[in-house]
Amino acid sequence: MRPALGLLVFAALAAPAAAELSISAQVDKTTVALNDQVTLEVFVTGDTARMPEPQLPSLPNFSVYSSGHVQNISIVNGQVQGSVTYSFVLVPRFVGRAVIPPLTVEDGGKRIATQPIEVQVVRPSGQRSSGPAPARPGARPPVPGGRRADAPDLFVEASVDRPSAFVNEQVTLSVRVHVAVALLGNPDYSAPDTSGFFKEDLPPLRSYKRTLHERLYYVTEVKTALFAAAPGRHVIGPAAITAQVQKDVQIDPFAGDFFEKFLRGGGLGSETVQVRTEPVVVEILPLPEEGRPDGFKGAVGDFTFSASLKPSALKVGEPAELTLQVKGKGNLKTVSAPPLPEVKAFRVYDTLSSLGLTKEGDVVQGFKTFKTVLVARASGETRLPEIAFSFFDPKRRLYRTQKVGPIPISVDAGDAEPVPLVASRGPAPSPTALDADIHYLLALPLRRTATAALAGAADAAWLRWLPPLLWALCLVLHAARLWRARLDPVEGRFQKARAKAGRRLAAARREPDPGRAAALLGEALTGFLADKLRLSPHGLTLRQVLSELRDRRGLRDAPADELKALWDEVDAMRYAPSGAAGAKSGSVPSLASRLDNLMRVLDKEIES
Amino acid sequence: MSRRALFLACLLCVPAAAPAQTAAGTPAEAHELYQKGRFEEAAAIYEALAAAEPLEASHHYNLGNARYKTGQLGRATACYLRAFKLAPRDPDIRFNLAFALERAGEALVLPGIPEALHRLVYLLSGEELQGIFWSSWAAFFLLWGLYLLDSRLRLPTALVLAALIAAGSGGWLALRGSLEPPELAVVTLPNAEVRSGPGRNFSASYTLPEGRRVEVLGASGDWVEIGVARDGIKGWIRRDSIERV
Repeated sequence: MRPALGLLVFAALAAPAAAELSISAQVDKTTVALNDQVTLEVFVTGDTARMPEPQLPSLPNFSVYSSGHVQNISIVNGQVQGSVTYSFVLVPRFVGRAVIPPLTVEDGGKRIATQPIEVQVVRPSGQRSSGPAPARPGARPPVPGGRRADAPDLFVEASVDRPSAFVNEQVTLSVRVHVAVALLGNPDYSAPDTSGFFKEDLPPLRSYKRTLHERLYYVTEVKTALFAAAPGRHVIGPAAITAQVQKDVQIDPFAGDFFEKFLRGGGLGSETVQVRTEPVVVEILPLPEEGRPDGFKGAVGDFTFSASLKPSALKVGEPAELTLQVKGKGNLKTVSAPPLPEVKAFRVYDTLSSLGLTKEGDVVQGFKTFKTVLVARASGETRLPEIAFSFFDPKRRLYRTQKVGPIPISVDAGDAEPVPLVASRGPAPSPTALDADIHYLLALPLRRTATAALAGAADAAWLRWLPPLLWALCLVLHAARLWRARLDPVEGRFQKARAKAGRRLAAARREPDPGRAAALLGEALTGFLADKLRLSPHGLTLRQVLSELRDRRGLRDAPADELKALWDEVDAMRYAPSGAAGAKSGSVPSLASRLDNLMRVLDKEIES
Repeated sequence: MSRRALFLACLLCVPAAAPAQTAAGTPAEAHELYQKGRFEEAAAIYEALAAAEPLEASHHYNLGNARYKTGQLGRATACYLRAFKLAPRDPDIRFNLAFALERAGEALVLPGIPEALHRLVYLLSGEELQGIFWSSWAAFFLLWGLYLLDSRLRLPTALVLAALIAAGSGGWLALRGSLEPPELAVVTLPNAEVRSGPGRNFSASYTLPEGRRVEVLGASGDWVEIGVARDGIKGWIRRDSIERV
């Protein structure tokens, strides 16, 4: 967009240090023919990312068309510097001296302005300028030959390049002004109402000839790119042209106002004609729900997505600049920054964006760049996770997602801080959480405990129910034994002898009266022997017992001797006078224990 | 008379290590791939190991790590849950499960419940509890049977002990069963849609984030009926949107 000739007019800066902003403007030529055009470029620079848009003054001598702007932002040593270049196409409307008034920007309440620029508009020299045909809507053409009664002198038509489009997909509106007669002065052009659309002019104006209904027309075409904001049926309002059409007037030389009319028009008159286009209907389709990616934010077009990180090797505390760029065809103004993944090892600052738009081939295209500063908080080999950018491709009618990364980053430890000469008395430094992540692998297998293995063994139902079944079997055997005991009392006494003696021994231990305790011990012993030997306990003697045990049952000498000793001791305790040594209460527990042990032995010896 | 010794003693820490190797690779190979950042390849080996040794908690845990590193939060959570069922005392398994659940907007320990109580309730794995229960169950009945056969045996104390252990472990199992749904699954897709019926022609009522635990209630073709009691959600979700634990 650089002009062939440069004539720089700088503005007075006079700005305080709050945000160093400057504005300047230049035109590519200061002398322009009526059928030519001038390119005006406005430069805004400053140390802020948010450049204010310049206020364009009223330019009655020109028709003004925006041809885009390019924005750049750079971050150097933490300082942000931005610049925006706005380009306008000015088409002169009148011959003579025209002044482009100062363009202004507001910065913190202060207004900064450019110097005015003088442009001289001259009549066409007959040689057409290079490039597109000179244009202004309704430029005065030579009177063509031949005319049809049904072919109007002046008409305007509007059309779009497609009757339907998706939300935010470019629709190109063309308004064509057809002129077949001479016009007095430049016509007024009223642009159509394009409510509901984002709008971008598509300069330059195009001029050409066209034969229609056997009549030669000079056509001026104005193109505008429209992007619908919402789905539905949209109506683009009519464009209008108001012009003074030259007409022949008959002057009566004998009329009273003959000289007046002659001097004013010399046989020429005019008529005000207004022509309008028909409204244009455009059907805007909603973006499909199916297949919509989670990160989709409304971008429509054909884009490529790239990323870079500079530098990729740095130290802790040093910054790196992550640049994401979306490039391609579409309404880049509405493209928003792709979401950055969480990177806790880095401190992430705000994202700054810059935009560069061009309109080549009547297609809005360009690039949008997002810059983010990352400052490393910890050393190590890490990586920025994948970053995705999703958009809807209207030609393919599907969503596309482009991903970049993961981007490896190598961070070395920063310079160590010097050791303080005086020990700090402040609180002890605590660990600083930098990032959260899962624990590492388990390199060794975890041992499965034996109890867990038992659960696996118990999976078989029969194993689970085997113990209760065995218990039931034991219960049956026990019941059978009890039944047998009931049927044979002597046998019953034999089976229960041990338990019965045990109860008597326990009672003897609890008995406080030594005499009574001794009696219980005696009853336990004689009762046990009587039951086991199937003898009557009444009048049972030791001789009788020993005879039964030794002679008939072959009892060994040791238990027999112990039996005799205990029998004597029990008798001595039972029948000793109160207060005598044998009746001491302290000997009851030991005697009971000895009796219990003897009974256990005899229980084994006397099986049946 | 048969021995009166019982097998109620704790037989913990009896190693049962088995050689781990599959056609896909060995644990060492998987660890090396993981360390190099080749998580997808490591996950393939861990998956094969987990299939070969489904009762080895470390395989499920490592598979969960590999899946987490590849961004599959839901599948990683399912692996951690399997590992936690097998080895709830392991601190790494517990930490990673809590970490993954937190990423999904859940918590391993519900708010208001002391962490110590949760650790106590999950001190033993389900398998260990079952092993203790069935062991004490068998010991109780066998001891009782022996005592019926020979009342001279000094078994009452052991009998009571076996009964208490069986009752305690049984109650513990019942408590754990009440806390956990019988069929647990994890959402594996981000913003999985829960519909009112098993088909896309039914309206979507909710979306569930990846990693959220759900209870499986039923199935019909490619659709599974799920419920999230805590949120009062019940509906149908595509079968490929969840992974059963």
